[in-house]
Amino acid sequence: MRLTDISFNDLRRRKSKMALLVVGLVIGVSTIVSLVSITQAMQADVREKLDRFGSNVVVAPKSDAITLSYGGVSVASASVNIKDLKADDLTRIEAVGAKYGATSIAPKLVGGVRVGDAKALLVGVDLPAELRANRWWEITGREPKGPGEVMLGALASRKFSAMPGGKLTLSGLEFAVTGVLREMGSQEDSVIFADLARAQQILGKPSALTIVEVSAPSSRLDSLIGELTSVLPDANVTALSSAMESRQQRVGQLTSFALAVSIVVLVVGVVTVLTTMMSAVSERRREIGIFRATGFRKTHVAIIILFEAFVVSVIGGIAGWLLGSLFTLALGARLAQISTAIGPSPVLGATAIVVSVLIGMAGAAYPALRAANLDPADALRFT
Amino acid sequence: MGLIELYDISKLYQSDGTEVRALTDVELSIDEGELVAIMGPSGSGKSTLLTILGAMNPPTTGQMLIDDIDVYRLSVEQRADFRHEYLGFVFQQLQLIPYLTAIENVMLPLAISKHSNKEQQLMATAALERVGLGDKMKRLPSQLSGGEQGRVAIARAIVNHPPIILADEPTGSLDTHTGEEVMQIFKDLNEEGLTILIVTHNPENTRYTQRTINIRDGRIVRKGATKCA
Repeated sequence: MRLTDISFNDLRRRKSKMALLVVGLVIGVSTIVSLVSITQAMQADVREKLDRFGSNVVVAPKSDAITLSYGGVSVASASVNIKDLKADDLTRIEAVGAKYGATSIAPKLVGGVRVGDAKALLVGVDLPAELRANRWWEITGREPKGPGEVMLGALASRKFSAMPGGKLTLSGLEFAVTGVLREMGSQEDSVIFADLARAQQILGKPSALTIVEVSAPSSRLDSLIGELTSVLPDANVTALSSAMESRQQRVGQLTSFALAVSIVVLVVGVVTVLTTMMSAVSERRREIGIFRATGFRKTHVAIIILFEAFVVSVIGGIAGWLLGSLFTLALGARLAQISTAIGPSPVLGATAIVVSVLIGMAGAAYPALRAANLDPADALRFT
Repeated sequence: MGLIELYDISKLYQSDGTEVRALTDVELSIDEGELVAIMGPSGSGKSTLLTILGAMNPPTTGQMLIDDIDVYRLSVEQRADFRHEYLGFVFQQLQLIPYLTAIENVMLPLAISKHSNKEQQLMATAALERVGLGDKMKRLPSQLSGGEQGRVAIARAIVNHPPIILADEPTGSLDTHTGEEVMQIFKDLNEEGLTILIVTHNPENTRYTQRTINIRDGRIVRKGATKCA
């Protein structure tokens, strides 16, 4: 017989109480595992998309005028006083972009147009390049395919009551509305996208460009910005906060929330173990008195109590990880709004067991101390 | 000099803010190999004396030497080691652990020893056979009679071969016949050289002991003469 045998015997005797404790730990651990799995998957998804799609760099002329803006570029009105980028600037940007593995180079002309009595911001774009640069765009309808078609941001669509299949008159010219962008909480929501050449024609600026958006791997962004700044001294070269980066920020907030919930769950777990083990120690006063009277040291008694908590928390950790993994496998992808299922992580499993054991040890520490310090004469009711 | 020597032992308790004197100036000497009964009415202090003898209850004043060791100068953990090496207990109401079998109850003091599991089994089996329970080792306490439970408690007390056995009312919950059987086991063990102190309120039990120490109101009133066994 060893001290651990005494612990196992006691666990067997208190099956129902210990089972309830295991259930409590399973709920706590599975909650933490689910939250961590989902937030980790969301973070990985954002990182992967940022790497795949690249981060965007905007090359724009320097300007002080402020009335309408897009991509950090201020556009006073249709009669803008901005020095446009030149055609050879685009050639230089393309050369630098190729050097740094740019995944897309999307030139744009931005200008004010009239829609009825209202003003609107027209963005002429190279549509294939624009769609490569903004792969997270979700379009209701379809993207424009010719010079007579336009696509609107969600707010612009509402403002001008222009839906896919409808018509929109820009500065006296009629265009077919083929698509509306899903609302993203960004500047794209308020603009009208048209073919670049057609926009240059409407705005009376053939071959002119207001900004060029370059998508490149995040890891090479700083070098790309540095070189573009040096080859284009008259332009502003800045990183553009993309929708993906906004999502990254939201994921960060969710991660903080998950951390807070996990801390609460940890505290509840510790308190649950504490109360259960305290109750067990109270019920075992005489037994502990016998241990101490027959020569068990305080440490021996503490080991018996802590080992019981260890066994329960290991079982709770494993079962909690399995339940949490099953939950995230079944529902995680839907909750995280990602396309791939979230599989079980052995690293998270090991961490879950360690966390569960820490909960168990933290909760059992005080009861073990109380048990170890029980006066044997008092525990046996001699006095 | 006796195996157990008590010098001027007193014990005071605080109870509801009042000082209660449980033992007063107890002087006692018990030789190796003695079988001694400690008798007295309820509240006389005999159980307090037993816990002091059991190295579990430091006296307020006085000194106790066992085998020349000043027991209450040892640390708490050293006293635990001392109990393990020197003392075997038979508790009032026997105090068997209900979820352990007879042999597991007997093996309990060995759980902190360096003996292998097999050695522990052999030692526990020998102790149970010594008290005539070799055929009921796998039974739970609830499956044993009162007398059999008493024998398991004695086997647990002797399994580690301590030189001293302390028993607190070991026949208190047993019928006369079974009580006599249990006392006979103590007498047999004493004849094998064990020093045994039995707290009892049953005068019949003194038939088996060599000496009776009477205690009243925390004082030893009569130490009794050593009888021939």
